[in-house]
Amino acid sequence: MLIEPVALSDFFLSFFSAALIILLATLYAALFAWSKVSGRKILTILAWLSYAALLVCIGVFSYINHFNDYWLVLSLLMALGYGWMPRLIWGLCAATHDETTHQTHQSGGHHD
Amino acid sequence: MTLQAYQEKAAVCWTGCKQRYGVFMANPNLSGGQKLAVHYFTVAMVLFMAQLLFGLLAGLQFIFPRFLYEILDFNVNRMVHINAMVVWMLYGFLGSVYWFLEDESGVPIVGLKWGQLAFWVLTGAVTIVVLVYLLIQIGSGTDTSLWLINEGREYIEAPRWADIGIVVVMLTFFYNVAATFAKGKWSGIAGVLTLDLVALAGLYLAGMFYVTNISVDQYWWWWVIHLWVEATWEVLVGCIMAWSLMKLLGVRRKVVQTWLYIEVALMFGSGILGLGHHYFWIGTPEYWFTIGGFFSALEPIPLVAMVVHSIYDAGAHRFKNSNHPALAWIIAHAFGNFLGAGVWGFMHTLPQINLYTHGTQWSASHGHLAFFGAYATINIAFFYLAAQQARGNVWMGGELTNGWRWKTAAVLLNLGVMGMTVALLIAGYEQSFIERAVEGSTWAGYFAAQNHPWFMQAMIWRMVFGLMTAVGGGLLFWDLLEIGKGEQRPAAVIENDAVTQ
Repeated sequence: MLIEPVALSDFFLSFFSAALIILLATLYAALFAWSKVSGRKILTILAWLSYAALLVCIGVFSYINHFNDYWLVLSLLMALGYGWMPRLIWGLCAATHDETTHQTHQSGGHHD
Repeated sequence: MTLQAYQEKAAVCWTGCKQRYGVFMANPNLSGGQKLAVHYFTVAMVLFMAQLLFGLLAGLQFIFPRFLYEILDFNVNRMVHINAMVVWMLYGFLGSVYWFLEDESGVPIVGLKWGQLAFWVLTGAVTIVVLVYLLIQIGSGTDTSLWLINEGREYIEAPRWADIGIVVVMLTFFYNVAATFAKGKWSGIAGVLTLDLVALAGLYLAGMFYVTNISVDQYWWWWVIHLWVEATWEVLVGCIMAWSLMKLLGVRRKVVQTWLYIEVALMFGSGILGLGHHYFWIGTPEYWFTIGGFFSALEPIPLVAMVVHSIYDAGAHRFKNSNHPALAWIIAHAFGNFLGAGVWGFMHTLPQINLYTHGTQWSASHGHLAFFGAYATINIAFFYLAAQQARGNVWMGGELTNGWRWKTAAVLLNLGVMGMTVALLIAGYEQSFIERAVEGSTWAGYFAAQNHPWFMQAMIWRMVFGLMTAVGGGLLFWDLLEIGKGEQRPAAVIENDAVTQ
């Protein structure tokens, strides 16, 4: 078999760390975006702390799920992807909202 | 009461219904497509109520196993519960598209009569299929039963005659959509929607042929189940959401369409090969461990991206909107989708842990929150948009008459589903642990897990929260029938200031 299942004693830790990966990735993304919107330094620091906690969770998750060989690429992808994705999305937000035109609407959007 | 008295009462009721239907069809606030959409929404809500009812019955049978035994068995209740869910989602999606089709294309719907005919054919077929499910519960599986009674594939049990009918209805729907856009204006939403409908109708064919090898059968069956839900439905909802955001928040078309393309890329990029997480244990080759594991891990990315975008927009919009109930349900959609599909999905998606969790109540926990969060919420949001327009585009902001009703319904439904999800999570954890890991997936292990106090208590809590959900559903139905009636104020006008300054 190409995988080694989680040990019985690590069940809870597996579920918990998996949930935390998604929650911390989201918290990091939210704090990162909020720090950009408000410009507050403390939010940037909290965002980096969330990212550090995310890296710890990825490490724990990878260890108890017995990641080895190319499964470690998945750990790397999660660590880099969840760090880079909020920046990419922020860049896309800024690029797609760069016009200053205003419109009044009541019954739906209009064709450009 | 005599039979004649019943007949007279039924005749009076029928006449009243016909009158009300005539008044509805003469509603000057709705276009032809929107009237057809309201037909779909009405049946969707009826099926939602059926889903809740049969869910309650099935839930009760976990606690009282002899309840309705050999009258309405658990497998039948569960089947109708899930089928009703799938079909009411589809009715909601079809109705939503018919609702905005004329607005988006700028012309009346091409072939509307065919669309109306398809609605009645589909509704008649759904009624017959459900009646057959209920009246013929047990019997041997033959070619005849496969064509006329039950195809036997979980979640898509409809017999083959109904399968063919569903494909014909979907093709009619596709014709309505494609021909209307072809005659009117094409847009980014129109293009994505039309291509998605090709995939939606085409993928259903994968679940319609019979093979004797169970692995091959499951392989194709998942094309319908996974690729519908985690690819084509997601994109369809993306199109519906795109139009709703323009309507509700006044977001500019260029922004909405750009993000629709990005979403399609992310959804298809991760969702199509995310299919692999269903191929871990059905007899398919081991490389699916890797494919399924990697792409499933990518599936939460669009949800994380959504958080960044919503904070970006909230900084500018401050949630100024023209329909409070609809916006509340769209917010519920964002959270429900993130938790149900993202967190609950990733917790058990990799094969190293899925070995123990697949097929337990863990899947049911994930399924309840993900379907509610990703699809039910967006349908309900659209129902409120439709109710607003049907009553003359009236005020649906703050200080709404009987506003307590939609708020209470929203709280009960969201808390109820969340409570059921957590209860099922506890049951699933116990099953994974006792039945799978400790007892090694034996029959003895199965029964040991089913009779374990943690499992039984979880089922009682699931029932409590199921009742809460049912009350919320009933209140929602009532509210949709009443909201906006007698309201004189016009809908709020939203000034678009989507640009962060």
